[in-house]
Amino acid sequence: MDMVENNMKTKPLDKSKEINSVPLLQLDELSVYYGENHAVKNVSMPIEENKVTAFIGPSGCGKSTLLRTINRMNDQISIARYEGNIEYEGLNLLEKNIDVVALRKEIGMVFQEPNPFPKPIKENITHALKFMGMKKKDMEEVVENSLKQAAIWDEVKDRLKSSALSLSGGQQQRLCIARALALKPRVLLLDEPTSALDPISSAKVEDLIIELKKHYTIVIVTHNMEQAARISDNTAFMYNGDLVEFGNTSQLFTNPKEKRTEDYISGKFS
Amino acid sequence: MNRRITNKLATIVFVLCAAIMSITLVYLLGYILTSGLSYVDMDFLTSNSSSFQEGGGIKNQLWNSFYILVVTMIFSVPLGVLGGIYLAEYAKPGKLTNVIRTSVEVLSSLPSIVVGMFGLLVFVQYAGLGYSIIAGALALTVFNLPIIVRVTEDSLRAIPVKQKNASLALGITHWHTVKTVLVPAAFPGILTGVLLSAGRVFGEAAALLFTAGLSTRNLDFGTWDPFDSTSPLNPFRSAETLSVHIWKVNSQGIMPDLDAIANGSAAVLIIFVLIFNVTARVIGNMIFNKITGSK
Repeated sequence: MDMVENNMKTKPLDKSKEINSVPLLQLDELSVYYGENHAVKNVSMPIEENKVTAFIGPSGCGKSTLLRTINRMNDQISIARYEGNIEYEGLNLLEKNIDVVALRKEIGMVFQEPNPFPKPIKENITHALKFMGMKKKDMEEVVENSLKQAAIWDEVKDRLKSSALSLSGGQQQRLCIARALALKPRVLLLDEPTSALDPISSAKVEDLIIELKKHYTIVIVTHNMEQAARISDNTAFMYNGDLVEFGNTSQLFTNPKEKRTEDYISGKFS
Repeated sequence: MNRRITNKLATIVFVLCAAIMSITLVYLLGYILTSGLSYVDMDFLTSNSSSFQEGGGIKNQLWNSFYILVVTMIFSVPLGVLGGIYLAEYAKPGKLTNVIRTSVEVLSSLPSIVVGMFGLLVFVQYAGLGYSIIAGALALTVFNLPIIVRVTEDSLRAIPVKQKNASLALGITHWHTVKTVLVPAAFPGILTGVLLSAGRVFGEAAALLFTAGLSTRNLDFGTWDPFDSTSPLNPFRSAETLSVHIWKVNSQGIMPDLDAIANGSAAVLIIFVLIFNVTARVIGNMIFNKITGSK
């Protein structure tokens, strides 16, 4: 509740910023196909820097597919194919010759179900750092900083060597966020990061997201409309692969332009 | 009412099946061990076998069993593990992959005596290896490889895909993910499979009859030059293993104490196979705990 009020109060300030900001990512006529299935249809929208952009919509509407296209995780699926553009730093991320390994370092991802490696807590963070060839002595600092940034340092600092699987679900999810942050990404993609968590853990992750947007651009897929309303600046409502409406979150929730958006947010269908 | 009876009945059937299996196993083990162990002592394990007189041992046969096992594993583990990784992680679904997978399945269901005949033709005669440890180990590789491929592929596929995604999403290459996330997570499963297959290889007789041969020279355990014909390490000498020895003593033996020798050998064989099985479980669990950091 508090959060919604806060958002309201700071709204005029936010708006003035919005006009000046250039989108970090620009989706342009983006289509994703799984074989014959046209899962995402001609979606165009900006993703603004240091803002939280939420994708909402009923199950199967293509919002997770859209998210997983941004860091090319859909490449895993052999029948997936793309059309259109995702412009980032003057590049089209869907280009065949994009180095997806480098791309995923800049655009990190956290999944629906917490997926720490079944390794000690610390090694969860250092796993990717080792691959990048970071020196051991530099790692200590990164481990501490990223765990602090993910607001989990105080809970784990005395047991960095115990298994990540011994943590609670909410702690595991924050560890996964810390793991992504350790690579100093510019964008964080969150795929329903709280849907497997209890309300208290969810609230902690939400607080964390609001804190993180100061330094990162965040895109979050969520089932939970209250969550989208609480934490996001912009919201995209998707239905059947179409982007029905995109806009400022408070405007979209209080005064939607499209009938389908209104029906969805008022709970007429889900 | 009816459902409760069905439920009870199902439980009884399952318990019964489990009981039949365990009782058979215990009876079999008990029978082999009680009839064989009385003959097993240091002298039996450390003396040469005899063809006519009483009191032969199994020193060379025991050594041969282990040596062939080690050589077989050197051939089949790297090949099988890499093949399993290929099938689980790299093979694209399609005709070629189906052909490979079917071949592996067919290979694993070949009767071992047929593998032995194949070994006789290809390794012993065509390749000119003669009855030798190396020919025996190659035949056993044919027979063991599909098991290791299968175990590796299954262990890799059993890892939740979210683990792989976690690593890929961190900007880590596929190969590094395979090496540092998937294979370590699959390792306990792979190791358990390898050790269980070692038990099978150790006890195999039919595939060795025509490849490693039925006789063994009295070995000189002071000679470690692998090219010396009396050296235990010579891979080109014929080598009768423990299980082949049991078969031979039982079917062609003329020594007066042949029952005792066969029973004693069977007991030793069973004990080692049991050791392989138990070690497989214990080490598998130990390594799993070590990798995951749990106690």
